[in-house]
Amino acid sequence: MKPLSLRWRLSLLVILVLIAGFAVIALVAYWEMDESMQRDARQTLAALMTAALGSPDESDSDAGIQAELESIVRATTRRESTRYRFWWDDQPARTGPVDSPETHEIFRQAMAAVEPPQVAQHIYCRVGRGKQAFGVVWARKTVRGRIFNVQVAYSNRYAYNEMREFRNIILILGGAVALATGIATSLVILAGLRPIGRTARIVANISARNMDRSHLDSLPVPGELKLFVQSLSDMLERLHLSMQAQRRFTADASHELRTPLAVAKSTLQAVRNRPRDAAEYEHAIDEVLLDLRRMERLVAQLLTLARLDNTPHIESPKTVRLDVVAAKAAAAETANLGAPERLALGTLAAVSVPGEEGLLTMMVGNLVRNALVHGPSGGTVTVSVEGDDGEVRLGVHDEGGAIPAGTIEKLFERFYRMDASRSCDTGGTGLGLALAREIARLHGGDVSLTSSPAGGTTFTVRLPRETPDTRT
Amino acid sequence: MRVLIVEDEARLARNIAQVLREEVSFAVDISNDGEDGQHMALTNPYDLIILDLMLPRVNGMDILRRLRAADNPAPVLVLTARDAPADMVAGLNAGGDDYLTKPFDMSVLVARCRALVRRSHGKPSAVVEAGPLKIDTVSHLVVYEDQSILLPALEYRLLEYLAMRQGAVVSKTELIEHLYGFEAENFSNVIEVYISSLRKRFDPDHRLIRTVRGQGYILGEAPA
Repeated sequence: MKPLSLRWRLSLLVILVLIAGFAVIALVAYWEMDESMQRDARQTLAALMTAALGSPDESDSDAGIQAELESIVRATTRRESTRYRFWWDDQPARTGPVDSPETHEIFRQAMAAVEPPQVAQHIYCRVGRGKQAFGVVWARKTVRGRIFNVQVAYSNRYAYNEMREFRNIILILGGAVALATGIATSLVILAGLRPIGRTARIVANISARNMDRSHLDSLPVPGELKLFVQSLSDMLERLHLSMQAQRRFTADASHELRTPLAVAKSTLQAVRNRPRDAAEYEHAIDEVLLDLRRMERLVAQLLTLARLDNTPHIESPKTVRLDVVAAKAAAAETANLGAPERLALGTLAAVSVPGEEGLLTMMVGNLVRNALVHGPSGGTVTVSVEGDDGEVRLGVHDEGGAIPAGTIEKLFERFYRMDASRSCDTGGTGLGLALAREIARLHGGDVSLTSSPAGGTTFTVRLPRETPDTRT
Repeated sequence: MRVLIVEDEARLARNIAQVLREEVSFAVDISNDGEDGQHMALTNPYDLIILDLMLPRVNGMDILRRLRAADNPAPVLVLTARDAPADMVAGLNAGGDDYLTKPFDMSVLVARCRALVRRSHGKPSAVVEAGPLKIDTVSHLVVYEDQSILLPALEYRLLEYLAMRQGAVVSKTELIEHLYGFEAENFSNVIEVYISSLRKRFDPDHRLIRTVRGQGYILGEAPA
């Protein structure tokens, strides 16, 4: 079965609580009133009985006693709520007991079963049910040597009716109030939940194309939902930013791939435009080969990045001597750029890290290449490795000037160039530093950059040192 | 026709310039930088500007907006590696006349350059007629009295420009500005040399190319 909605559950709860409350109030009030009415009835009966027992003293004949009783009854109570019967124990069988004008079967049936009280005593009992409930007093007394019995019954039937009315009013009114409160609760909850529905409809229309926080900012929300909507809005913003970054990356990647392609194609088409001599053809071919090398490098880096993006951690890390890798990679990169004399090796402490040698080589190579290309031309690039108990630090230093603090973090963004043009004059792909950082992070470390006019520019890679338990 | 190429990929710019120059009609200037390119575009009467969007220092889009804000009428062919429809729309809305994404075909680029220049002079057809002359701007052949004549490059360039501006007086300065790039050394009397050479070929009595004294030249037969 489908579970009831929160709205109905709450409404039902409110109705039940209210009904229970009203029932308790009605019951307590009913008991209290019943008790007081009974007390009242007993007092009335006591008074009646005392008066009735005095009547044979005033008169000797039954008619006289009856007249006396009638007057007592009329004087003290409403006639129709009082009954009486009296008789003498030694009275001849043909004359029955004397009854009040509206006699009642209570005396014939209910009281017949009651044990008579001792002489000069009286008993009190309740007979009948509901409207026909009577409080009855039976008293016996010796009058001039004969035993006189008198039974007086008193019914607070009218009070009982009042009580029933009161009970009914409480039940009907209480029921109505409970129902109305239930409906009101339901409506209040419905209104209270409306912002959630509205939010849900807005969220349902958000896709990758129109994602940003503006959707939810203008939504009026009550206090208790503010945090919820706010965090939803913040999440949208984060997703929006990462989508934007992704889109920018795709656009940049396509730009970076298209540009060398366009250059290569234009070179070939220009040279084919007219008949040329052999030297011109050779020159064009050399140029296109350069473009191809640039594209090759870019594609390799893009593929590595894509692989790193899908690698949460290194599958089976091996022990890698970082100092050896750094020296080899730095030498290879400087030789590649035709400037082996620009490399200086600083402290190279024999330290190991757990990781993948190929990736670490690429990381060092990228950092060295960056320093060679973007540092002052002809300047020395110093590579050093040192370690202490906790971590291993690899430094790549060049004599370049200060990089503005605002651009330091941007340098690690994919395809970031200090100049917007993305021209390939430097031969870089714009991915080297991003790759270096990805590799460092994959190894549990990071790359940071410090730069000052006096101290030059230093990229520092911090990696966790190999400990016996990381060597598995 | 004088063309400006603003493109930071120096080799791409050089290749485009080479092909355009070999097309006879075009004299080409190159700028590899946004700021420099903007200055050149604003201070010279180019017949066509080929503009890359991602440029150092000044963005191509800004150059385009500034050109149009300065009422510069030169047709602009936007050249960029961005191929998103939104980028094309933005480029055209900023005042661009056409759009090519890299990598492109040189033949397409040349054809579009010709079409843009033609259009900007109100000549929808690739064959421009001037009196008895039919100038084919694609093959650069001039037909005169059922004879195809292949003119020397600069004579053709001069005739084509006069034909594009048919009926208007074109000054010698204007001719120099539109027929030569920066690199060319030119002297105003070369114009007179070319004009007289053209007249010798098909206008012995100076009725087709007339001299307006002190002002310049006008192509188109004088009312009899």
